[in-house]
Amino acid sequence: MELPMAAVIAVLFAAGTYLILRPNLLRVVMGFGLYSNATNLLLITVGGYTRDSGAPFVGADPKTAAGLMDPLPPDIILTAIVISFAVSALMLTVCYRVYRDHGTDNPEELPVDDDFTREGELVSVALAHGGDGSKVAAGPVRLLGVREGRRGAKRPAPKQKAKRR
Amino acid sequence: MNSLILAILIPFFTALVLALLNGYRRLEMAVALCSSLALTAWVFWLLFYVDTHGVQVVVVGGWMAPWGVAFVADRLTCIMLCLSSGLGMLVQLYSFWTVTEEQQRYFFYPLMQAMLLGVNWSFITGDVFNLFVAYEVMLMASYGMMMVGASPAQVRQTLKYIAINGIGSTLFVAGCGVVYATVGTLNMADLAVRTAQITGQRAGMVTAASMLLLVVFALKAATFPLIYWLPDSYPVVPAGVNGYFAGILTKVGVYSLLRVFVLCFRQEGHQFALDVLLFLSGLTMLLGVLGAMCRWDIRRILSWHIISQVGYMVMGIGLAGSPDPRVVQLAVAGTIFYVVHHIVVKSCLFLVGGIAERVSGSQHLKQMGGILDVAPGVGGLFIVAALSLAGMPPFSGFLSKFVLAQAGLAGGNYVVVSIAVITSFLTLYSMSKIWSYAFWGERRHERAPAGYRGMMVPTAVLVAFTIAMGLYAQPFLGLATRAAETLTNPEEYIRVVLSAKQNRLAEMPRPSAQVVARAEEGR
Repeated sequence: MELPMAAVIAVLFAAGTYLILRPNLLRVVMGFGLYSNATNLLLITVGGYTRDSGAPFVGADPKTAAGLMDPLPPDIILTAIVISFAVSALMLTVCYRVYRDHGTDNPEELPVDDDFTREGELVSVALAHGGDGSKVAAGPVRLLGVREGRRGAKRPAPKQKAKRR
Repeated sequence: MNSLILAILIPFFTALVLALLNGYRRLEMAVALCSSLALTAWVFWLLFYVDTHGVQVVVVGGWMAPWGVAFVADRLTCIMLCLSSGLGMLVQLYSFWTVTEEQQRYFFYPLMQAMLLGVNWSFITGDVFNLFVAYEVMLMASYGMMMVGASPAQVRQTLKYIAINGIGSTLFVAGCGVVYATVGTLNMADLAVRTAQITGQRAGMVTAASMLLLVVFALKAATFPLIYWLPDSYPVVPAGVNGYFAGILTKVGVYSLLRVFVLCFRQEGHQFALDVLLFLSGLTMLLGVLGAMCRWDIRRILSWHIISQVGYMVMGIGLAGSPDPRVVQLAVAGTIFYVVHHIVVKSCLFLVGGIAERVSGSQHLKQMGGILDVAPGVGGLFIVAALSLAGMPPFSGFLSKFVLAQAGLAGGNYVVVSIAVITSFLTLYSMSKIWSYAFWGERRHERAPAGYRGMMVPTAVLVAFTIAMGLYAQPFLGLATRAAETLTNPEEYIRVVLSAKQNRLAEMPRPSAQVVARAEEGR
């Protein structure tokens, strides 16, 4: 059983790597999902999964020790599933937020912060002049990004960006 | 000693309480500060206790050590706990001046406590998979912390940070699986026992499996090929907390490298991983400092310096691959001393940088100028921290670099030691650039500086610490040497963890025992 599993894991990891390297944020999240599934399959294989294996703790036949599976890998998998689920959910939210801020889901079209974070985008500059946030509203800096409509209004419509994939 | 677990329970419950208190600004600050003070006092007592009474262990739920999850406190753990909790306290104190009401409504203080929880947990755990869970708690909190305020720059940098750490985490789980398959355990003490008996072809497999973990920890520590996520993402963290990020988060990776590759993997030929680290450390040091030299944003300069400093610590770990046990001992002790020095000085520089930004109203060096005219005290704090970072004699930086260089020369690694010395000079250049552009020169505008005096208190504590570590080094070096002994000769660690006393819960019938009993009845 190990050889087909190894092949499946390899394909999943390869596909995940391909997706992560695509210039598209959503595909990065999907690639991450494939990575975590590949990891979970790897852990099942590690646990000595065979055709005769039963459920952990019980085995194929509860009366004997036959087909008893190591319970630790399933345990690890459960934890890993929960965590990767939470991380993907957060990643999707952040991707959506980036898309709404910049009107693109292509990471290569995002502004580059190579030496200096762009003027008016950094929180600390705002803090330098108010501390309590009082002067922030007057300046170019917007501390809180949650403003429906305002930011999106100036951006090109999302449909135009869909071509580049 | 069951109360050991308080080191993670205090931040856990404080995080919950603070999340409920969201909106009551003053109350939230007071609770956060009191809880951090209590935590710091507790871990310092723990350090004293462990230093005199030896390694302490708790087996959670009463499951015995190789099977259940063990929480272990040896000297290295306690040193790291003290640094993380103490720095967390100072950073929260500093945040009282920098964090706005709006930012605080984004669950700033609960996230800070959650980060403390994750960091302390990863220091205290004695199980590799549990270390992964602790990493995730820490990372989740740091994602949230990085996005406090949610400006576009923060969100897009956080996305990169989440993506690279998410990939790192899946590799970590895969590494756990492969190590479990080859060695058959994930408990650190048990790993040390079992790998020590592995020779021949299987040893090669264990080394290969451990390389997956090496990649993960090197990613977290920002070691050479995996560094580019750091200098972009750290500058968007709110001022103050970026001191905690800079000081502690990458050092969790360094700690894990030290713990797992010095203590856990002892199979035949395990030095291979350490040799790889030694090779990477030279590149990390040089690339980090070269990156810092060509930047003009004070936060980016300091972030690149984290990378070059991590190179020194990784060099210390790499030197532990030497066949001479005295060199190993010296290298590990030097690394621990360096970690202490680095956490203090690096976070101090970030805190000073935050004050300088506030005084001058910019973080671009060419727009700062003349801070010394309006705030001479800040200049004093900066120059001490900067000279200490570069390794000038009276401060802790000199001694920590000296010990590492001594270990390197004793092991005959002349190339990497000379890279370390060159890096030190280049660091000095980079620090003098900040000094001459930001502190000297003309003021660029007439705006009166915003209030900053309160922020100097936590910064001054850190500066005092680096001076004390330089002038009165023997107790610190002695502690680092004793901690290194526990790591390099893990007999005590293994004995204590694997013979942890069962408590009452453990005497209750276990699920598996019940299953067996039922099966026998059926028969």
